[in-house]
Amino acid sequence: MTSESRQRSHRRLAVLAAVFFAFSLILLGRIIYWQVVRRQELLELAELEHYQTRVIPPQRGAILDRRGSLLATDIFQYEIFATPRDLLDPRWTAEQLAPLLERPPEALWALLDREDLSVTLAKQIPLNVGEKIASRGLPGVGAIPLPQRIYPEKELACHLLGFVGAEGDGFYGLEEYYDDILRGEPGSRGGERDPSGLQMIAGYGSYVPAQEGPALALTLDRTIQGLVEENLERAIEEYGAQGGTIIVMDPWTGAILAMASYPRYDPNRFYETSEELFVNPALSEVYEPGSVFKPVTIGAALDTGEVTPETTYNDTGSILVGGQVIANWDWGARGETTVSELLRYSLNVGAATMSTKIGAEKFYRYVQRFGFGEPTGVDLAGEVSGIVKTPGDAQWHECDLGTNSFGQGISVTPLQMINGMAAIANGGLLMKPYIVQRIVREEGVVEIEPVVRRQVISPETARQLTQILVEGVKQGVAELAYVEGYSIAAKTGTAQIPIPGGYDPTWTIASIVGWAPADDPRFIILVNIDKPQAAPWGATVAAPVFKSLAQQLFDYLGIPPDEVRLARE
Amino acid sequence: MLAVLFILASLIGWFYLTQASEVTTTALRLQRLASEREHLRRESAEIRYRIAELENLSRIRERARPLGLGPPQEVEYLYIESEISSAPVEEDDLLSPSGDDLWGRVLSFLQVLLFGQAKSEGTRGASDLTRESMGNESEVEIKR
Repeated sequence: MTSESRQRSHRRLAVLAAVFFAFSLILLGRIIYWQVVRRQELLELAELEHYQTRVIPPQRGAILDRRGSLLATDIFQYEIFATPRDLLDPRWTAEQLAPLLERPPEALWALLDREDLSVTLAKQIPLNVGEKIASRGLPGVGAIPLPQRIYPEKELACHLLGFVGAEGDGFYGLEEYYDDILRGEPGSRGGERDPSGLQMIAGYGSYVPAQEGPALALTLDRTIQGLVEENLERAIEEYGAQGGTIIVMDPWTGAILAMASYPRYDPNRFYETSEELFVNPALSEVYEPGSVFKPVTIGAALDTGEVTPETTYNDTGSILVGGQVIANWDWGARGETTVSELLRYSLNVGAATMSTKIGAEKFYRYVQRFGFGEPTGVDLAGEVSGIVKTPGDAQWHECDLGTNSFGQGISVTPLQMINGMAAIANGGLLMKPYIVQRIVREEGVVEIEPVVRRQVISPETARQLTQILVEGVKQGVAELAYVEGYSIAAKTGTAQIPIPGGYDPTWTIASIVGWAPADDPRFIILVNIDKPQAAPWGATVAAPVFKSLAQQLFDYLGIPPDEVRLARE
Repeated sequence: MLAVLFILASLIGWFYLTQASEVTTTALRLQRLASEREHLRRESAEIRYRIAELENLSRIRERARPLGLGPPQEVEYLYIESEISSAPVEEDDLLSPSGDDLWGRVLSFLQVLLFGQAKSEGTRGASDLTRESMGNESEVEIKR
């Protein structure tokens, strides 16, 4: 071999070695990539091949009323499915399933005789039927238990509860507000499988039980809620109204005892319901309150010390504020009138006189202190703030000082209205309304304490206002709310409904807010009847509803008439 | 030597088989318990719902009506005055034996024997006083 050919041979060998070396490097790189960089991923993939995990869906926490009655809970219903390729005989399987699923065998056979990987045969199958199917062990047929939200009281308190959608998410009311708490923790069940997919008993397995969501015990009383809904429905029928809202609260704590609106819906069948019915009008819709707002104006005037209940003004039947003429509801002029009489006979001129007397700055400061124009902070989804225009706002006009004094040109929610009035009932404290009394977890119970937001007016002002309102029920415009033997403080209102360019000439919202016993209230009630046909006035439509409900509450809560109660004390 | 090795191997084999069998049995039992737990959880939810359904407010109303039950037509509250309950109670009264029980009777007998008459005569025993005041205390009766 010549030296030239030897050199050529060495070069070839060197090239070959280099190629081998390069390949070795690539291989080494790939080995490092798969064995080190993507090790975990491969391990997980390998595990999936022989290890299967099934998620155990958690039960959503129950919702109970203050006495432990169930308002919402989860039950289990089965979803039945089949994997056609694993079926022994589709026709035979269909015949076996037909009587259990109460469906003709032909219909099932049509579903089973397919090439699909998996077919859903039935949903929402009752527990006993689902378990029967699961226990039969039909090859290629599976049954999965899935939690299903259910409301045993059906329409009762529907706006307050909300509902749970098909994917398990809470919508509206408590279900939405407490969604994260209620939904619980899913569990899992896993085990090694053999090549045919069957679980290996001796193999590695795991079981983590699902954790049920905490239960919510409400301040709501199911019986009071029932009475409220009964009264509301009857009133709407009797007065030919289009809707309405009633709220009952404990004025001392802000605890909501009942909250109902009409029309109602069944949360078990939310999918058949028009979406606008889901909204809770008690806190998600605003209205111009009308004369029920007057105690706020008079409360401000009394609390600033500008007037006393005996202070008089000259009622000429009208007053000009910011270029707008304000007249009394009956177009009458009462001459020399006291502040007490103003409220007793619900005089617009007097209210406007008071608001202009104390001035815009003080008036709106009190309006805001009463909680108008801001959310109450209630633990329910969808609360809105309402609209309070104040000096400085582009849309505020001087005439608003006059109209706002008797509840026009100001938008509030029914919840804000009752909560503001509760501040008068309880001696001047604005409370934060609440509906959940306690959250019951496995590790313990979390008790929700009442929250005082602020002192709105002095206890003395509150007492004076209460006294005036009691007189209004005994001899004034709210006398149809009077229950024999009981001192009741209440104020009626006939709210006009704003439409583009003015107010609706036909329809009103008849309302009343009142509490009893006036000196030591056990409850405060708001009644709003929307667009009553029979009569437009709060005093004739809402006051009798208040009376009927108050009478029932006296009986149910065991509140004796004042004569007996005060003698006992 | 061979025999010893054979016995040792057999023992190890027996030990392994026993362990494996035990592990399998326990795993099976655990699996059954987990299934049972899930089954009971589902059943408990179902029962809870059935109870709530039976306690449904409108159902109770419907069932109550044929039985003649309904809202009260008239509620009357009566205030009953009582002087006894508001009378001050002296400490001696509370401490003196009632005479009702055996020990009280023995004490009364000894008092009569030693002092000629029972010390508690003319006063009310604690239990008498309690009974009396319970029966007559100011109360509001609800008549329906």
